[in-house]
Amino acid sequence: MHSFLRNTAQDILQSYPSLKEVTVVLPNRRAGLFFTQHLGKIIDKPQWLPEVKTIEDLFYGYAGNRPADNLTLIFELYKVYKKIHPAPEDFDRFYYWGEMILKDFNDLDQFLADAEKLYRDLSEIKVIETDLSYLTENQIQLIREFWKSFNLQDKGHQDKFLKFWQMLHGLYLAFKEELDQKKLAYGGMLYRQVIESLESIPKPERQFVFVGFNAFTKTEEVLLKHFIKKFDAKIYWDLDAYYIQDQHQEAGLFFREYMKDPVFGPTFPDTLPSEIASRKAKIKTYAIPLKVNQSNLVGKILEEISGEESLEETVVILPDEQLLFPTLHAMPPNIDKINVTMGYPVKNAPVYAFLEGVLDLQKYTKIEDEKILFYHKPVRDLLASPYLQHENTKEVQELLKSIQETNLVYVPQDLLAKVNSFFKMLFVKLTPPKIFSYLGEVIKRLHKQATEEALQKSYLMQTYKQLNRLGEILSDQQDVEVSIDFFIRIFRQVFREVKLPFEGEPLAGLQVMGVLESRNLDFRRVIICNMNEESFPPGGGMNSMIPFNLRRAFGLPVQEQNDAIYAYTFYRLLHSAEEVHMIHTTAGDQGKAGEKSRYIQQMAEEMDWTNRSMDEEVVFVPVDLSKSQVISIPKNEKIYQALERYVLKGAGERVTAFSPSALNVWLDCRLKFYLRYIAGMDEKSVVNEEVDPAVFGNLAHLSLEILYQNYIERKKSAVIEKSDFERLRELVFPSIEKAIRKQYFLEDNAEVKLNGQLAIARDVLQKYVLGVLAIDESTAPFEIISLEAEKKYRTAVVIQTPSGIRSVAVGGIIDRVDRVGETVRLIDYKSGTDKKSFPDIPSLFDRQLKNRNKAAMQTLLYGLLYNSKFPTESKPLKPAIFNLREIFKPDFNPYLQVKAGRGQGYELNDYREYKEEFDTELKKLLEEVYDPQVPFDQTPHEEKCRYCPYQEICERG
Amino acid sequence: MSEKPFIIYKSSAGSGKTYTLTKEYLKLALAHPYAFKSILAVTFTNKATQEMKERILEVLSRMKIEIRPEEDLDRTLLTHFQINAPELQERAKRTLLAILHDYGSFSVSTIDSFFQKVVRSFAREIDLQAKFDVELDQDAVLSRVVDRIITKVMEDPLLHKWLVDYAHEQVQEGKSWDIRTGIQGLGKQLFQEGFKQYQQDIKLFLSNPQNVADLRKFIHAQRGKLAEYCCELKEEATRIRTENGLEWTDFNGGGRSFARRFEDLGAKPCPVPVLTDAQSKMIDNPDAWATKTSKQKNAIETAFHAGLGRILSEINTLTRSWNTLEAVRKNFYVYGIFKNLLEELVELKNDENILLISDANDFLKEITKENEAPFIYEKVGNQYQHFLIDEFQDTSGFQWESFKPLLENSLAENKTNLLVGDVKQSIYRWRGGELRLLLEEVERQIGSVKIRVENLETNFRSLPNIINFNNTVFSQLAGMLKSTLEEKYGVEAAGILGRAYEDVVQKVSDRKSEVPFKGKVRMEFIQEDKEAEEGGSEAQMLQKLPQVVMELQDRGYALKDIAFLVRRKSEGERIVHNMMQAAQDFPEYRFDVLSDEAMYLGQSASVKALVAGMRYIFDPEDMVAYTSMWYFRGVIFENEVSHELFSVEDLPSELEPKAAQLGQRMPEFLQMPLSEMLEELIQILDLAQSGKEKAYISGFKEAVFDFVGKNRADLAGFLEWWEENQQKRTVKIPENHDAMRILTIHKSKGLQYKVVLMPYLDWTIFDTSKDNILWSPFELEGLPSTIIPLSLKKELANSAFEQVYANEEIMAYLDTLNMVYVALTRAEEVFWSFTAYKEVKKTTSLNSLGINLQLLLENGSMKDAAVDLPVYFDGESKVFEFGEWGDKISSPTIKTAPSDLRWDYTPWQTLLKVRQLDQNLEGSDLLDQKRKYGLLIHRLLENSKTREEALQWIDAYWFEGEITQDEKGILQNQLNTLFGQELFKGWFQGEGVLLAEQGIILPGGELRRPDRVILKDQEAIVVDFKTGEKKKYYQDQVQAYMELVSEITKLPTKGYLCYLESGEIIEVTLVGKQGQLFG
Ligand code: SF4
Repeated sequence: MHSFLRNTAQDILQSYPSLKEVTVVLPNRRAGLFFTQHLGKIIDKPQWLPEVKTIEDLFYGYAGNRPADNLTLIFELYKVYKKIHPAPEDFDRFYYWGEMILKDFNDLDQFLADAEKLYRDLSEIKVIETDLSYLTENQIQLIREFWKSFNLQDKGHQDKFLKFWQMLHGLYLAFKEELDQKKLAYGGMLYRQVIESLESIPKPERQFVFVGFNAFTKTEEVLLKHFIKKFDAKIYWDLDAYYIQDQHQEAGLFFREYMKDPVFGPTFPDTLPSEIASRKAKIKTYAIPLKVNQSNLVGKILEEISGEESLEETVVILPDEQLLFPTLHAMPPNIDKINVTMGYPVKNAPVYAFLEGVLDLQKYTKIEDEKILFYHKPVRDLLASPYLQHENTKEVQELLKSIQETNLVYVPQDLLAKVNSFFKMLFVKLTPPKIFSYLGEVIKRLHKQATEEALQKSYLMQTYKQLNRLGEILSDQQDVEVSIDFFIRIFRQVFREVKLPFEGEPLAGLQVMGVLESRNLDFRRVIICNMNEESFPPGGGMNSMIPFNLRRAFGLPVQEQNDAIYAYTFYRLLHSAEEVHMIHTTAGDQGKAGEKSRYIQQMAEEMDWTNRSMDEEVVFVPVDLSKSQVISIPKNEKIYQALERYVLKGAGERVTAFSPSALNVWLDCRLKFYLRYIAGMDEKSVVNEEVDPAVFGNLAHLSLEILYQNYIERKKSAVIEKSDFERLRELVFPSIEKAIRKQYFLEDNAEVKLNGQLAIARDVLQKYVLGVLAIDESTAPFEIISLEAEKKYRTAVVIQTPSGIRSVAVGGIIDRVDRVGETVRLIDYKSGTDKKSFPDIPSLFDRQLKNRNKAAMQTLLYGLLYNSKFPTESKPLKPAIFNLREIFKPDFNPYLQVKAGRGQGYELNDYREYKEEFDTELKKLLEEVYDPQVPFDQTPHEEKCRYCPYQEICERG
Repeated sequence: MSEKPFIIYKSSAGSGKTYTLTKEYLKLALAHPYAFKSILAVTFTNKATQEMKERILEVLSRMKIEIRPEEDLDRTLLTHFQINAPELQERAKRTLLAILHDYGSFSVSTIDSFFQKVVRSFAREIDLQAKFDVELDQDAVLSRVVDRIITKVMEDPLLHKWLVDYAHEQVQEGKSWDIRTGIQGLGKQLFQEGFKQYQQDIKLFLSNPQNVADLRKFIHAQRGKLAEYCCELKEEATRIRTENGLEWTDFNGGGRSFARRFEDLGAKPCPVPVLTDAQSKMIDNPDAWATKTSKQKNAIETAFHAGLGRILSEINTLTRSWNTLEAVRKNFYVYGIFKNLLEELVELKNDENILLISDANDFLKEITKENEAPFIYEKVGNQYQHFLIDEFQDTSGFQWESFKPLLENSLAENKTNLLVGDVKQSIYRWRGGELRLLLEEVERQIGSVKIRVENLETNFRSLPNIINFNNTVFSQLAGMLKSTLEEKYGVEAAGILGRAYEDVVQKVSDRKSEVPFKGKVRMEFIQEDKEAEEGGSEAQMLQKLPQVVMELQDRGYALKDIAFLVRRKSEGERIVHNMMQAAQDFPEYRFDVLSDEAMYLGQSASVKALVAGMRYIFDPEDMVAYTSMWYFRGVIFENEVSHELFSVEDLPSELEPKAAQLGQRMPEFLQMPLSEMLEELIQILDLAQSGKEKAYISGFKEAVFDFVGKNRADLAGFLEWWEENQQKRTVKIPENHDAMRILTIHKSKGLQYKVVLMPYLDWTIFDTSKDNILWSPFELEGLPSTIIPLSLKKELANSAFEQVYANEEIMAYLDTLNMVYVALTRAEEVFWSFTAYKEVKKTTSLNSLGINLQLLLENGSMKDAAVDLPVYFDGESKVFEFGEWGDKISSPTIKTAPSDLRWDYTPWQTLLKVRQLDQNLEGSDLLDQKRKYGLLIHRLLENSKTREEALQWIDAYWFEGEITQDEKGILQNQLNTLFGQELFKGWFQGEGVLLAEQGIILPGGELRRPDRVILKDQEAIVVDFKTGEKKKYYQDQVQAYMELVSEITKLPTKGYLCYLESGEIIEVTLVGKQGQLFG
């Protein structure tokens, strides 16, 4: 196989037998590694290694300094900026602009541009002065072009632009001075420094060899030429005629330029290698709908590699690093060794998510009455993590439960702190300076916990290191105010990039790498994923404050150069490839269509396809949707056991009773009944900031109960008269407060902390309760017999089952029983809009009916319950429904109406008139529940499924 | 060139719009190889962008190989440039290569992405942050805004009171007290142009709380007054009635008499009774007040004149006032907090650093207003001279205003610009599309001096019968709808329908008229079978659908030739289910469907099982999740549904080992990255082995993949995200897969299919049930005038806002017409639809599309129509059938055997290990600390040639965060101690060649790296630095190095071991070999 690095090693060995006097400079360390490996394969006896370094090393070596980290630099930049700018934004907001400005300065220096001339305002002087005369006519034209577009007539944006622009040169100078003083530098600054004192570099005693470069920055170019001219350095180019000779090919852009250069020119070989054209690699492209499916395809392609081949000759290029794990997960068994250049991304690890969660906790804290409170969501997320449950699983579960029950939207610190020392340390409110020691402690704690998790320990170690670094940097910047939010952002930004290196020999096994890492390496089989625009080449967009034409005029790189670099990395992969697989996706992100990479299109148009072709496969993943089934569960022994719970046996034995809602559910849908009452699939409740209808209804019930309960107790009489209402109205508000406390399990004297929604709910509730009072006032006087929670009513219904006669328990709570005149009212409060009329008793049990009156069935059942509890009561038993939503209607009437169709109906005055019929129907219903022939099946009426929690299982709704 | 530079192409359906665009593009792009860089072609969707690009490249690629002068395109270009074929070929080639190699400058883009690009380059000038994300999910943003508002309630008593009043009012009306829904509903307007164009005025009005309070007071007062007045009227009416000895039932109509309305006067909640049309006719018509036979005829007449007549006639005016007040009141509360919403939105965008997709339009408008075009181009870095805008009928007012300055700039230099669109295909009005721009506005604004309008009138898409049918139907349907409107609103107002459909008649293309098969239209009107069990006409239609598909297959159509068009996604879903069922019932036919809009990932049992599994892992108490997981696994494996499957305790025996395995791994799962956990779960549930639903499982993996890429990767977060986003995730299938398409009319624009099926061809034309919002000026004496939101309701028709209502109705009619137009013109050969048949009575409302079509086909005979429609309508079967089937065709089917992919899972740990960093974190551990320093010093020494370099490395470590400031000091001290020893110092300076970074390489590639090798003329020195305990084998190691060094250098070699913590140096002597060599 053709290999650039091997050939180069061979040549160097022949030209400079004494390798120890040789310095080989390569574009990156990885290429260096491969280079030495090739060297080793060639030599036959031990040898000195040549010195192998990167061009950065070379520059920094001569500069005698290394660049400071970006964050420090941006801080320094900001400090200078604050001095210059009349109204500087705060650091949080400046940060990204700072990043951009810093990058511009770096470019300026790397490309030896004249900052003063660049950052000047030529808007009014439309003639470009002579001091730009060192520029070419073309460049001057570009500059002119730019400034010509200015039209300064009260144009707000241009004004803004100019103001900022004019400041930049000052910023540049002051910034560099400041850095100089602090012995700090950014990369470009050092590069420029080296070039400016180029003449003072002593002639090295070593032979310099530059290997495998494609695009130089201006400073690099100057240095190299100097080395070539003065020190007789040598250059090896890694290139191919295919993209150099064709002027269109951006991949050859730099080479073509360098070939024309008097110094570089002669270093090129006389005849350019022509590997790409001569090899005629087998080329195949694949269009695939999903990104993750690329991995499945890679797995398949790799499966075909025969045992004889050496895996090292195959490379999988992943332009999107995130595809690494899906790809690894699809490795076939014949791949037994693999080398991955990318590291393990710490950000995928749950432990990292935990740390982010810890920080998110800080975003939503508040202090009330000197107590620190945390928002429930991040708390809940943290509590659910294994890291907090590690030691005190039980306590944590309890804690979660109580947060849920008391609907703690904000969780107080002391509640959390009491679990253990870790909790105490974790749940604190931070100030920005404390953040580092805090996170450090958290990490140490997690590290200690993770006794056996080697991987976990490694992430934490790495995170800890990075954290120290950040801490140090920020601790030097005390004078700049940084918010917690900013810190969290920076934390994310830094840690999202942290990777853990993989173990293993870099040079053995299947090679998996990113695009840029493949430089100078050669492979026989190349598999490239994400061959999409925006991926390979990556999305464009020069982030710069310097307008495009000015960049061009001053020789700063623009998109064109970027394109050239990426194109080169792509075509270079073809140098030695005999088999190329290119996979692109057709479904894009966020509505963007997946566009296939320009390289595929270029190849299709330009390669010599005689006697071969570029195969395109459209990958299709089968759909085969499983069809949903009809669910019907026959009754079996186990189910009967469950149903036994409702059957009364000996005297005094407590059994479960069928509640009115259970009976209604049975009528609505037998499967729902099964799932809820037999299979026990109850839903989980969660902390809910919204006051959902169920909670609201509950609050309404509670409020009314408390209101009357307390009043009766105080009055020592259960009879409510018209004169009582004034006082009752005053008690509404405290009753509601009490109800809220009860609903959320708060202690009696606990202060009620309302969040917005609840505050509104409370006030609305007040209006409702007042509405009920108004109705009651008009009915008064009446005597309250019982209020819901006091009494549970239950009774036994005797039914016929296959296993004989059974007594089944039916029971429920009646919201309120009172007596008005000679009538006992059985009242149900409802928060919805229930109908009160129904045609006849059987209709209440007819599941075929679309609008079966459930409320009527329920309140009539109250009649049954009341009647069987007080069989001697002779007054009429009159069901009533107080549905809050209708309470304000002028013609509000709480009583049931028996009425068929449009006909005139009549009010239902006494349950007993319907008793017989009702009993029969109820018996029938219960007998059906116990009937072995009746399975638990789905309701045919899909509208019943609308609010059913089991919709998903049934695929209804 | 003297030609007018601004060309507007009005392109009816199928008239080769893409072709025209391509042609025009090439006319500009082929001028010289780099001309393409100055053209911006704007399309409506990303997909269209993609297709446009492909189309251009395809043509160039073909021309590069051959020119076909016989083809219109080539001929046009040859004449345009006045060149010969080889020259054109050469130009095509050069342009193609230029584009492919400067692909970033190939500017075919959507309006949105172009706008965003400009906005980004002006970020600083318009006070945006340097980096921001574009947020597409505006509903989610709104919901966060509302959250914030509600939390503010506690701090803002005014807001609190306002919202409670709002809730209270809702309650009084018997609605739910929940105010969120209301706020959320109207709040959507924040992102709409309808609102944005008045934003400034509204903000101004709301900025003074007094204004809102006054408005509220006013409305309250007016309502009160009106109610009072109505009560008075009622009293008066009652008085008149009794004076005349009448009962209301004595009037015409008896118990249901119109006269009972008098009783309703002043009732709550609505004091003004609403008169039906029939009742309104009673006004001023005393003769009708009593039945002919009524004995009270005279008394009634007296009563009429005594004032009842006047009162009745007053009711209508009162209704009008009442409706006006109600319309204002309806959205009043939410309107009142729009200021809060706007402020909160700004804050939220700032906090979250996002730009809403709808903001780009606003900003661009500002940018193009503030800046001259050249400056914009300079900042963006693209110099556009030509604009080609596609689908112009869907461009919004804001978008046009943003573009206009750029276009004018270009037109000023007489550069060619182009708009292409079809008013008849404008179906995005709800998104801001403003068809009037294309219809007349642009011409008016730019002036005809520069504009040339071209009509593309030949249809190249469809067979003659389809075209002729459409020609007839649309001329007549437009006329029909227009006359309905004219009756209501007059000729003038309805005129827009006529103008839009003026040029609806298309010519048949030569090529299509030569084909023997002429095309076919079949429209079935289903008469509901009252006997049938249930489901009505929809069920009947769904029963027929599989038959239709089978018939088409029998006729040789491939699945991919067939498309179902629907109005709503839910209809699409029902068709998916229907086809799935059919696939089981008729195994000898195929029913594969493909839809981006109706095939949700969440429908698949595998995905449901996985989601349930993840829920269970997140919360092991969640038994619904646990049970559902097994149940859905059961669905995949077609397990019998039994009690066991649902019961928590006793799973079916074959599942027990699975459950055990899951239980065992649970603790690990929570500590795994999400995607890994997912793979494991797929494994445990055997979903990959099942071999089913691969596309769904993959889609779900992709969802996790996307989530992890952008968010904090924890399970809780994912589950929440999935909850909210699952409705946005559908299965992705390659376009050319052989399956029937199901798509909404909106998405079908620009597409065409041999056969188009429309099973639900009916909808309400003017739908006032959806609470759509209209913004209307509103003036009140004593209050600053403002713009208020009105909910579109029937009542508006009789209110001060009737004009707004009328406009809306007219536009709704046009919407419907356009929508059918788009639908019917998608078909190349066959159009087949289903609509419920309605018996037409006098009272039948014409407000539905179905009835209009039915009337048209049943009896819409017209003299000079191309097709005499009723002739083809069978009154018996209610089927319209036009055109005969042709011979059986054979449509080439593409084989789409599933590709061979690898589905098995390999845990990555079997292949790779993360390198362990085993340093101890506990800083207090002194020993470790020392060891750490030792290792660091080792590292920096081996990398340094001189003492200075070593010191530099310390700085570097510090920068990289490896060491702290304090540690830096410690290291520096340690270095000083070491360099204090002369021997040591000697290794870092002075004579001899230092080989610090270099080692020795052995054949085969193995490396030996003594820390230092110093070569002098007469001797070589080897030094190795060590940390920690002294070890015997260190000496052996150094000896081995010495042997190698002396072998290479042929020099006597000295060796040293240096322990870095203590600074101790031990000399190592070489025994054996060396003696033999040099002895
Ligand atoms: S979704 Fe429908 S069928 Fe299923 S349990 Fe609920 S109500 Fe019954």
